Amino acid sequence: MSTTTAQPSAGPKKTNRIGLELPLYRGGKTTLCAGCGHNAITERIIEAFWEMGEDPYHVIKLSGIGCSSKAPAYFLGTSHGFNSVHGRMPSVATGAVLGNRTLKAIGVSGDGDTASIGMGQFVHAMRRNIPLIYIIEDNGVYGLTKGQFSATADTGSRQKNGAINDLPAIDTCLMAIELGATFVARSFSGDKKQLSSILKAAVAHRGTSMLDIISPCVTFNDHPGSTKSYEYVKGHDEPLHEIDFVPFFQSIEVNYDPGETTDVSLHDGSLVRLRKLDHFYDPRNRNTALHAIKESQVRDEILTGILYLDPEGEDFVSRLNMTDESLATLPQDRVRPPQSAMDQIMETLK
Amino acid sequence: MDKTTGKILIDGNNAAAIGCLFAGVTVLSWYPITPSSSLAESLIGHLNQFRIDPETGKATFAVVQAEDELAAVGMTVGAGWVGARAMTTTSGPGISLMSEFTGLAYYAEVPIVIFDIQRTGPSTGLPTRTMQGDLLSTAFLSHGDTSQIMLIPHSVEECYSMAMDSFDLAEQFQTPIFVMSDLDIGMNNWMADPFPYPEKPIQRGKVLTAEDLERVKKFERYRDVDGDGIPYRTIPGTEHPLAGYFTRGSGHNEKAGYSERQEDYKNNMDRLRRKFETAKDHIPKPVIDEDPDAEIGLIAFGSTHWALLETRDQLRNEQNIPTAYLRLRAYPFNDDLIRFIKRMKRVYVVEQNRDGQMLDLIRLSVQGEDLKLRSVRHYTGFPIDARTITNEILTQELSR
Repeated sequence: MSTTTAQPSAGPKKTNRIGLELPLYRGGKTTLCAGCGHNAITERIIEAFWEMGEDPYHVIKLSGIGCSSKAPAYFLGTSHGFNSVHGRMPSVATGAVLGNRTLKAIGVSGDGDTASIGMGQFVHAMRRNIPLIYIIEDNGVYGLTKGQFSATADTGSRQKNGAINDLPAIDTCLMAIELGATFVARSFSGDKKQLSSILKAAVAHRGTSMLDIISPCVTFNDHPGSTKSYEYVKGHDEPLHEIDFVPFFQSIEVNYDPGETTDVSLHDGSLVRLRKLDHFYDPRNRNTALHAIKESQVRDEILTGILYLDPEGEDFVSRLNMTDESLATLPQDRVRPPQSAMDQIMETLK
Repeated sequence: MDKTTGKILIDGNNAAAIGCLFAGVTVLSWYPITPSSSLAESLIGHLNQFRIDPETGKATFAVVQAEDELAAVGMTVGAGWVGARAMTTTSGPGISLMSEFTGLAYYAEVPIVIFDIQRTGPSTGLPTRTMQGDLLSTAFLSHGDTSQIMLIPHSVEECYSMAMDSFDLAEQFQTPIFVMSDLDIGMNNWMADPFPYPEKPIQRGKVLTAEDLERVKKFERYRDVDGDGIPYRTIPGTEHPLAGYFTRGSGHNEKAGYSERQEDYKNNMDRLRRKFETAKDHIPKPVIDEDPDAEIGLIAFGSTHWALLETRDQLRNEQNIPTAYLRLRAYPFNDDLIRFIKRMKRVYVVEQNRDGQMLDLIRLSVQGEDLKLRSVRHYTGFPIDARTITNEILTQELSR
């Protein structure tokens, strides 16, 4: 005879719109340093995917190589993940979304993985507008190899060993906007609210969402003289707007002052509401965005928020006129033409 | 009698493209390079003609002209990982660039198909001339202990059939399959019988669906369940709590977890070796033409075959030297090769490169028979001819 242990009666668990609890969106325990900005980003990703009610079975997580690229192991543990090769996450992600267009892809890269070794693939992924959330966890430094400068390190920034970076920084947001990405944002791992709103909007967006997230490296790049330290970024962060994100499955509040806000509807019916701070900023204008970023560089400010947004830009998968289903699981009769096709081809060769 | 009646005239690249079409390729990512571009371009033509769904007008394929060969193979890896039949086409310089990704595909066990239409190397070499020069580098393509499977067509018919085989084998063995054609077969027109419509259904290998997972209740991505070295895989989008796993090029255990443990590393590498051994008897076997009177064996492969046929006639008719002939069709070699060499007194390996690359591969694979092996090498950029082979064999026979 077996005895049963009475379960302690738990209160109703909070579930999202597809009935899943938050812990299901967690992954393995992080092996990154305590205090690493990347861990905060991981937390925001977990929350964003849970709040958006994305089905983990239909999410794929991709990365290259580096501290950042370890992150996909720490969220959405039941999703398929692929930690590929250095700088090549974009091509793997491209192939994956072509092979199965029904999957939601999130790629995590770093500043070294993107702006140096991966620049070629980054450029072409942006240009194609691949349906992909492309996150750069940007700390200006190679952490896994112990602190060398990356190409996003600012001119004059000081390395832990005292070396000064004398090369200009590559601004990945400027590049992404120039190249045709349709959702470009910059944020800070320490700005919980802003990052959450941006991530949720990125999940809702169709096409490439390129997020450059400044994410201080506590071990190799958090000292005085660094322009990617917590202290420096907090002091120079210049939010463009306050971002309210209203997913398609929630009703939209009507009270707002039209002079103070800009509403952008995303393709899935979600709404991005941007509340004006110091100046009016319309993220739908590419030239304005480029100008604003360049101006902020002169002022030594880090402009954060949704820098550019084109919700109607055609993504690469749509451009290819592919069938709506996953190519990967099409049955034989859909992918092997009939005997008559062979006869037809052979006839032309006789 | 007109011996050309009913025959077709076709280049090997188009023949391979037709094979890919009927194999059900779904993702092609490629970067233009002579002499492989016409394979991709022929295939694009066939796909546009025969793989647009008549009801919806939508394509059952995706084609990307990538920004370089790294991206071309990277996209292939991504597509193969989600379960698509994915391929790329290239030649020597592209193969060199694809090295890192093919090591990932080998180690992470992702099915992909790569066509290498070999041209004259090294480096840029002679881009419009032919060579069988990528054998050694491809057999071990990528760093660490990497072993790659190669199929080696000798004709337009085999470009067609091996193209089809390659997709089945890639999925059955969850590894890159290299189809090693060359410029001579790939870009020149050859006469052939019309290609037969495939009889064999598409083989998708060991893929577990959500229903399978529900039944077996256990899934460990890199576990050798069947003892053949080939693990089971799931594809993204499978709706089951056991389905998800983390694919990585770093050290991993049977559960696909990150691991630096020495037992895990060795266990995995030994299984990969076992899988490679299993492949020997599932890839195209050598074709052997025996002659009971022959003391001399000839080994050739790929486009060298046609000159070799004539060489055998010359040796028999002009010198009264009978020969036996083994035509290699794939690597790793199965035991037919060692048995053939054992039966012979002397064996000439005939190939189109300077360094005797196939000879080296054979030496690595057959032990104790090395002294029988001789080498005939042709490397001018032009296709090998029978008289060159015959003369070289006679010279070596006389100086014995």
